[in-house]
Amino acid sequence: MYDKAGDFPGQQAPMEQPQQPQRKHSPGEMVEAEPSDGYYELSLASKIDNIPVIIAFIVEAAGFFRLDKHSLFDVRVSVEEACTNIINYSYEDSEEGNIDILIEKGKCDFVVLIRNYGKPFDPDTVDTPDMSSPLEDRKIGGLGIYFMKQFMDKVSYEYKDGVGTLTMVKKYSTVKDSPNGI
Amino acid sequence: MRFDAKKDAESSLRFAYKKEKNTLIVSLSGSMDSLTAPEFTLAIDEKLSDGEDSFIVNLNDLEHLSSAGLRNILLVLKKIVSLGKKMFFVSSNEDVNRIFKTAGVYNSLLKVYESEDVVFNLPQ
Repeated sequence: MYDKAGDFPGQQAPMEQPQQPQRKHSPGEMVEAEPSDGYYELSLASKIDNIPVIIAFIVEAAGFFRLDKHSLFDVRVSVEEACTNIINYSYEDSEEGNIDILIEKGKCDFVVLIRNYGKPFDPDTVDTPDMSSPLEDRKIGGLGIYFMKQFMDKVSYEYKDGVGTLTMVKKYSTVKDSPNGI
Repeated sequence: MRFDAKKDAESSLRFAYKKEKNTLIVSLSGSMDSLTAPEFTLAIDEKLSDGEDSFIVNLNDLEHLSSAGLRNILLVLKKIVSLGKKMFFVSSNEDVNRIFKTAGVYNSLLKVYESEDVVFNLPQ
Protein backbone atom coordinates (compact mmCIF):
# COMPACT_ATOMS: atom_id res chain seq x y z
CA MET A 1 0.00 0.00 0.00
CA TYR A 2 2.84 2.36 0.84
CA ASP A 3 6.30 2.90 -0.53
CA LYS A 4 9.11 1.78 1.63
CA ALA A 5 10.23 4.39 4.11
CA GLY A 6 13.61 4.52 2.37
CA ASP A 7 11.98 5.82 -0.79
CA PHE A 8 11.23 9.12 0.88
CA PRO A 9 14.10 11.53 0.89
CA GLY A 10 15.14 12.39 4.37
CA GLN A 11 13.41 9.40 5.90
CA GLN A 12 16.61 7.79 7.10
CA ALA A 13 16.33 9.97 10.17
CA PRO A 14 12.60 10.56 10.57
CA MET A 15 13.07 12.35 13.84
CA GLU A 16 15.75 13.76 16.01
CA GLN A 17 16.77 11.37 18.69
CA PRO A 18 14.96 12.75 21.70
CA GLN A 19 16.92 13.58 24.79
CA GLN A 20 16.39 11.41 27.80
CA PRO A 21 13.31 12.78 29.53
CA GLN A 22 14.17 15.44 32.00
CA ARG A 23 12.62 14.82 35.38
CA LYS A 24 11.70 18.32 36.39
CA HIS A 25 8.66 16.88 38.02
CA SER A 26 8.08 14.05 40.41
CA PRO A 27 6.96 10.81 38.78
CA GLY A 28 3.21 10.73 38.41
CA GLU A 29 2.75 14.45 38.36
CA MET A 30 0.78 15.56 35.35
CA VAL A 31 2.62 17.90 33.09
CA GLU A 32 1.06 20.17 30.56
CA ALA A 33 2.31 19.40 27.14
CA GLU A 34 2.95 21.90 24.44
CA PRO A 35 4.37 21.77 20.96
CA SER A 36 7.88 23.06 21.11
CA ASP A 37 10.60 22.56 18.54
CA GLY A 38 8.07 20.72 16.37
CA TYR A 39 7.06 18.03 18.79
CA TYR A 40 4.45 17.37 21.45
CA GLU A 41 5.36 15.78 24.74
CA LEU A 42 3.25 14.47 27.59
CA SER A 43 4.41 12.86 30.79
CA LEU A 44 1.96 11.33 33.20
CA ALA A 45 1.35 8.72 35.85
CA SER A 46 0.76 5.13 34.80
CA LYS A 47 -2.90 4.72 35.65
CA ILE A 48 -6.04 3.84 33.72
CA ASP A 49 -7.67 7.06 34.96
CA ASN A 50 -5.25 8.91 32.69
CA ILE A 51 -6.43 7.21 29.49
CA PRO A 52 -8.79 10.12 28.62
CA VAL A 53 -5.89 12.56 29.03
CA ILE A 54 -3.76 10.47 26.71
CA ILE A 55 -6.54 10.30 24.12
CA ALA A 56 -7.15 14.07 24.35
CA PHE A 57 -3.41 14.62 23.89
CA ILE A 58 -3.33 12.49 20.73
CA VAL A 59 -6.34 14.35 19.33
CA GLU A 60 -4.65 17.68 20.04
CA ALA A 61 -1.36 16.69 18.42
CA ALA A 62 -3.11 15.11 15.43
CA GLY A 63 -5.04 18.32 14.87
CA PHE A 64 -1.86 20.37 15.06
CA PHE A 65 -0.04 18.05 12.65
CA ARG A 66 -3.11 17.71 10.39
CA LEU A 67 -3.58 13.98 10.51
CA ASP A 68 -6.73 12.86 8.69
CA LYS A 69 -9.76 11.59 10.64
CA HIS A 70 -9.33 7.89 9.93
CA SER A 71 -5.59 7.90 10.61
CA LEU A 72 -6.31 9.69 13.87
CA PHE A 73 -8.69 6.90 14.82
CA ASP A 74 -5.98 4.31 14.12
CA VAL A 75 -3.31 6.21 16.06
CA ARG A 76 -5.64 6.86 18.99
CA VAL A 77 -6.53 3.17 19.28
CA SER A 78 -2.88 2.09 18.94
CA VAL A 79 -1.66 4.53 21.59
CA GLU A 80 -4.42 3.47 23.98
CA GLU A 81 -3.53 -0.18 23.47
CA ALA A 82 0.15 0.55 24.10
CA CYS A 83 -0.52 2.60 27.23
CA THR A 84 -3.08 0.17 28.64
CA ASN A 85 -0.49 -2.54 28.19
CA ILE A 86 2.18 -0.50 29.97
CA ILE A 87 -0.20 0.29 32.85
CA ASN A 88 -1.44 -3.29 33.24
CA TYR A 89 1.71 -5.20 32.40
CA SER A 90 4.90 -3.12 32.60
CA TYR A 91 3.88 -1.45 35.86
CA GLU A 92 1.53 -4.26 36.96
CA ASP A 93 -1.28 -1.80 37.83
CA SER A 94 0.89 -0.33 40.58
CA GLU A 95 0.13 3.25 39.40
CA GLU A 96 3.65 4.12 40.45
CA GLY A 97 5.37 4.47 37.13
CA ASN A 98 5.57 7.15 34.52
CA ILE A 99 4.61 7.14 30.88
CA ASP A 100 6.20 9.64 28.53
CA ILE A 101 4.68 10.21 25.11
CA LEU A 102 6.41 12.16 22.40
CA ILE A 103 4.83 12.97 19.05
CA GLU A 104 6.66 14.34 16.08
CA LYS A 105 5.72 14.93 12.49
CA GLY A 106 8.23 13.48 10.08
CA LYS A 107 8.29 14.45 6.43
CA CYS A 108 5.56 11.97 5.48
CA ASP A 109 4.65 10.40 8.76
CA PHE A 110 3.24 10.93 12.22
CA VAL A 111 5.60 9.41 14.77
CA VAL A 112 4.66 8.45 18.33
CA LEU A 113 7.26 7.43 20.90
CA ILE A 114 6.06 5.94 24.18
CA ARG A 115 8.54 5.41 26.99
CA ASN A 116 8.14 3.56 30.25
CA TYR A 117 10.49 2.50 33.01
CA GLY A 118 8.78 -0.73 34.06
CA LYS A 119 9.02 -4.36 33.05
CA PRO A 120 10.28 -4.86 29.49
CA PHE A 121 7.65 -5.84 27.00
CA ASP A 122 8.34 -6.56 23.36
CA PRO A 123 5.16 -6.60 21.26
CA ASP A 124 6.88 -8.91 18.78
CA THR A 125 6.85 -11.68 21.38
CA VAL A 126 3.04 -11.67 21.43
CA ASP A 127 1.37 -14.18 19.15
CA THR A 128 -1.47 -13.14 16.89
CA PRO A 129 -4.63 -14.01 18.79
CA ASP A 130 -6.74 -16.87 17.53
CA MET A 131 -9.93 -15.03 16.61
CA SER A 132 -11.91 -18.26 16.39
CA SER A 133 -11.23 -19.19 20.01
CA PRO A 134 -13.77 -18.28 22.70
CA LEU A 135 -13.27 -14.82 24.14
CA GLU A 136 -12.57 -15.99 27.65
CA ASP A 137 -9.79 -18.27 26.41
CA ARG A 138 -7.92 -15.42 24.80
CA LYS A 139 -5.17 -13.60 26.58
CA ILE A 140 -6.02 -10.01 27.46
CA GLY A 141 -3.66 -7.74 25.61
CA GLY A 142 -3.11 -9.97 22.61
CA LEU A 143 -5.82 -8.30 20.55
CA GLY A 144 -4.57 -4.83 21.49
CA ILE A 145 -1.07 -5.63 20.26
CA TYR A 146 -2.58 -7.03 17.08
CA PHE A 147 -4.56 -3.80 16.56
CA MET A 148 -1.35 -1.76 16.98
CA LYS A 149 0.44 -3.80 14.34
CA GLN A 150 -2.51 -3.66 11.95
CA PHE A 151 -3.33 0.02 12.35
CA MET A 152 0.16 1.52 12.36
CA ASP A 153 2.60 1.34 9.44
CA LYS A 154 5.51 0.52 11.70
CA VAL A 155 5.81 -0.63 15.31
CA SER A 156 9.22 -1.14 16.88
CA TYR A 157 10.44 -1.62 20.42
CA GLU A 158 13.72 -1.07 22.18
CA TYR A 159 14.67 -1.73 25.77
CA LYS A 160 17.84 -0.12 27.04
CA ASP A 161 19.11 0.88 30.47
CA GLY A 162 15.75 0.30 32.10
CA VAL A 163 13.82 2.31 29.53
CA GLY A 164 11.35 0.65 27.19
CA THR A 165 10.66 2.71 24.07
CA LEU A 166 7.87 1.85 21.68
CA THR A 167 7.96 3.70 18.38
CA MET A 168 4.86 3.71 16.21
CA VAL A 169 4.70 5.32 12.80
CA LYS A 170 1.62 6.28 10.79
CA LYS A 171 2.22 7.44 7.26
CA TYR A 172 0.13 10.33 6.04
CA SER A 173 -2.60 9.18 3.71
CA THR A 174 -1.50 9.75 0.13
CA VAL A 175 -4.99 10.85 -0.92
CA LYS A 176 -5.34 13.58 1.66
CA ASP A 177 -4.41 16.39 -0.70
CA SER A 178 -6.65 15.30 -3.55
CA PRO A 179 -9.82 17.35 -4.10
CA ASN A 180 -12.02 14.46 -3.06
CA GLY A 181 -9.69 13.22 -0.39
CA ILE A 182 -10.90 12.57 3.10
CA MET B 1 -1.16 26.42 21.68
CA ARG B 2 -0.82 24.71 25.03
CA PHE B 3 -2.39 21.36 25.67
CA ASP B 4 -4.45 21.70 28.78
CA ALA B 5 -4.65 18.10 29.89
CA LYS B 6 -7.06 18.75 32.72
CA LYS B 7 -9.60 20.57 30.60
CA ASP B 8 -9.40 18.11 27.73
CA ALA B 9 -9.69 15.08 29.96
CA GLU B 10 -13.47 15.48 29.93
CA SER B 11 -13.81 13.04 27.02
CA SER B 12 -15.94 10.14 28.12
CA LEU B 13 -18.47 7.56 27.04
CA ARG B 14 -21.93 9.07 26.69
CA PHE B 15 -25.31 7.35 26.46
CA ALA B 16 -28.59 8.46 24.92
CA TYR B 17 -31.74 6.36 25.29
CA LYS B 18 -34.87 6.19 23.18
CA LYS B 19 -37.70 3.69 23.37
CA GLU B 20 -39.23 2.60 20.08
CA LYS B 21 -41.39 -0.42 19.27
CA ASN B 22 -40.72 -2.03 22.67
CA THR B 23 -37.00 -1.80 21.99
CA LEU B 24 -34.55 0.36 23.91
CA ILE B 25 -32.25 2.19 21.51
CA VAL B 26 -28.94 2.94 23.23
CA SER B 27 -26.84 5.42 21.28
CA LEU B 28 -23.20 5.60 22.30
CA SER B 29 -20.92 8.54 21.66
CA GLY B 30 -17.47 9.53 22.81
CA SER B 31 -14.79 7.07 23.75
CA MET B 32 -15.07 3.40 24.63
CA ASP B 33 -11.62 2.76 26.04
CA SER B 34 -10.06 0.72 28.84
CA LEU B 35 -11.30 3.24 31.41
CA THR B 36 -14.85 3.81 30.13
CA ALA B 37 -15.76 0.42 28.63
CA PRO B 38 -17.07 -1.03 31.93
CA GLU B 39 -19.62 1.81 31.99
CA PHE B 40 -21.34 0.18 29.02
CA THR B 41 -21.66 -3.08 30.91
CA LEU B 42 -23.04 -1.22 33.95
CA ALA B 43 -25.53 0.76 31.85
CA ILE B 44 -26.92 -2.36 30.19
CA ASP B 45 -27.06 -4.22 33.52
CA GLU B 46 -29.10 -1.36 34.92
CA LYS B 47 -31.52 -1.43 31.97
CA LEU B 48 -31.84 -5.22 32.28
CA SER B 49 -32.83 -4.87 35.91
CA ASP B 50 -35.36 -2.22 34.82
CA GLY B 51 -36.93 -5.01 32.79
CA GLU B 52 -35.73 -4.12 29.30
CA ASP B 53 -35.37 -7.19 27.13
CA SER B 54 -34.78 -5.87 23.62
CA PHE B 55 -31.94 -3.49 22.74
CA ILE B 56 -30.48 -1.76 19.75
CA VAL B 57 -26.99 -0.37 20.38
CA ASN B 58 -26.14 2.41 17.92
CA LEU B 59 -22.40 2.98 17.49
CA ASN B 60 -22.52 5.60 14.72
CA ASP B 61 -21.20 8.42 16.90
CA LEU B 62 -18.56 6.46 18.74
CA GLU B 63 -15.23 8.23 18.22
CA HIS B 64 -12.97 5.66 19.78
CA LEU B 65 -13.16 1.92 20.30
CA SER B 66 -10.23 -0.18 21.51
CA SER B 67 -9.79 -3.86 22.31
CA ALA B 68 -11.02 -3.19 25.86
CA GLY B 69 -14.20 -1.69 24.44
CA LEU B 70 -14.68 -4.55 22.00
CA ARG B 71 -14.21 -7.03 24.81
CA ASN B 72 -16.96 -5.37 26.83
CA ILE B 73 -19.31 -5.33 23.85
CA LEU B 74 -18.78 -9.05 23.26
CA LEU B 75 -19.20 -9.89 26.96
CA VAL B 76 -22.43 -7.88 27.15
CA LEU B 77 -23.74 -9.61 24.02
CA LYS B 78 -22.85 -12.99 25.47
CA LYS B 79 -24.74 -12.21 28.66
CA ILE B 80 -27.78 -10.93 26.73
CA VAL B 81 -27.89 -14.12 24.66
CA SER B 82 -27.53 -16.31 27.74
CA LEU B 83 -30.48 -14.48 29.34
CA GLY B 84 -32.61 -15.06 26.25
CA LYS B 85 -32.85 -11.29 25.57
CA LYS B 86 -32.19 -9.50 22.30
CA MET B 87 -29.47 -7.03 21.34
CA PHE B 88 -28.76 -5.69 17.86
CA PHE B 89 -25.77 -3.57 16.91
CA VAL B 90 -26.13 -0.74 14.41
CA SER B 91 -23.07 0.92 12.90
CA SER B 92 -22.36 2.73 9.70
CA ASN B 93 -19.22 4.08 11.35
CA GLU B 94 -16.40 2.80 9.15
CA ASP B 95 -13.71 3.21 11.81
CA VAL B 96 -15.72 1.21 14.33
CA ASN B 97 -16.50 -1.41 11.70
CA ARG B 98 -12.79 -1.62 10.89
CA ILE B 99 -12.18 -2.59 14.53
CA PHE B 100 -14.75 -5.38 14.23
CA LYS B 101 -13.31 -6.53 10.91
CA THR B 102 -9.71 -6.51 12.14
CA ALA B 103 -10.73 -8.51 15.21
CA GLY B 104 -12.47 -11.00 12.93
CA VAL B 105 -15.87 -10.64 14.62
CA TYR B 106 -17.66 -8.50 12.01
CA ASN B 107 -20.86 -10.25 10.95
CA SER B 108 -19.68 -13.49 12.51
CA LEU B 109 -19.63 -13.23 16.32
CA LEU B 110 -21.07 -9.74 16.02
CA LYS B 111 -23.74 -9.03 13.45
CA VAL B 112 -23.74 -5.35 12.48
CA TYR B 113 -26.80 -3.72 10.90
CA GLU B 114 -26.80 -0.58 8.77
CA SER B 115 -29.59 1.21 10.57
CA GLU B 116 -32.31 0.88 13.17
CA ASP B 117 -34.89 0.60 10.39
CA VAL B 118 -33.14 -2.45 9.03
CA VAL B 119 -33.39 -4.06 12.46
CA PHE B 120 -37.08 -3.17 12.81
CA ASN B 121 -37.80 -4.65 9.39
CA LEU B 122 -36.06 -7.94 10.09
CA PRO B 123 -38.33 -10.95 9.55
CA GLN B 124 -39.65 -12.04 12.94
